Amino acid sequence: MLITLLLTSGCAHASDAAPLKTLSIDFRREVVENDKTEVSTGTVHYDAADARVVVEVKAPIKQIMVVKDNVLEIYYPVENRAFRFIAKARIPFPFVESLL
Amino acid sequence: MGLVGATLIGFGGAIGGCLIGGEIDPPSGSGLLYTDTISDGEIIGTLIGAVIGASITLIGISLYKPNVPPDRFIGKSPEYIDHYTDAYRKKARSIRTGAAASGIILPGCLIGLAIAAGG
Repeated sequence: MLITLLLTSGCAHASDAAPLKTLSIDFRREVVENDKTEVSTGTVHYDAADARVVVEVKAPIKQIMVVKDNVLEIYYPVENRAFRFIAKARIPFPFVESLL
Repeated sequence: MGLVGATLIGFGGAIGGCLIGGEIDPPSGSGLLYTDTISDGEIIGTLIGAVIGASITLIGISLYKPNVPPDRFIGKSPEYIDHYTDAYRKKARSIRTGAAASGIILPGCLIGLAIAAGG
């Protein structure tokens, strides 16, 4: 998996003492599986105060994923469909955690 | 809950059932088995306990719904999520149930019966 990152509007405070409050990262994710490469692009938004991660996928399909604590919500604005997964514990999101 | 966890749960369920059931001890003279070290009631109770413990464990494991890692859904269509989630849960459930059954059948029941007989 190859992830290309582009730190766009990093809203983190410049001061070394101030903790990170919000972060936005544009990403391009390539996954090679069974000799087939799948590419997805989008933006990851992280809110430290809310402990919430929003993944806004722009290609190949418009998709918004929101992860907060043990709840994962996925919304498709074009298809007007949504999913909600509720786990017993905090949902791990390695793709995002590797960026943070 | 992984394979090891499911196996241990099955093992614990069978052992627990055996130990609890083995406490059942009807009055002497039931006449089923002729032994001084263990009463007939203990044997019957242990077996019933093992069955109940194993059943409860297997039902609990089969009802457990594992969650699919969200990384798999990035850039995927709603239909993909529908089918993938369904297939993932069915496969995970069958693997866990098999692991729990393995924990129940050999180690759980045999050790539970041995403990109940020795106690």
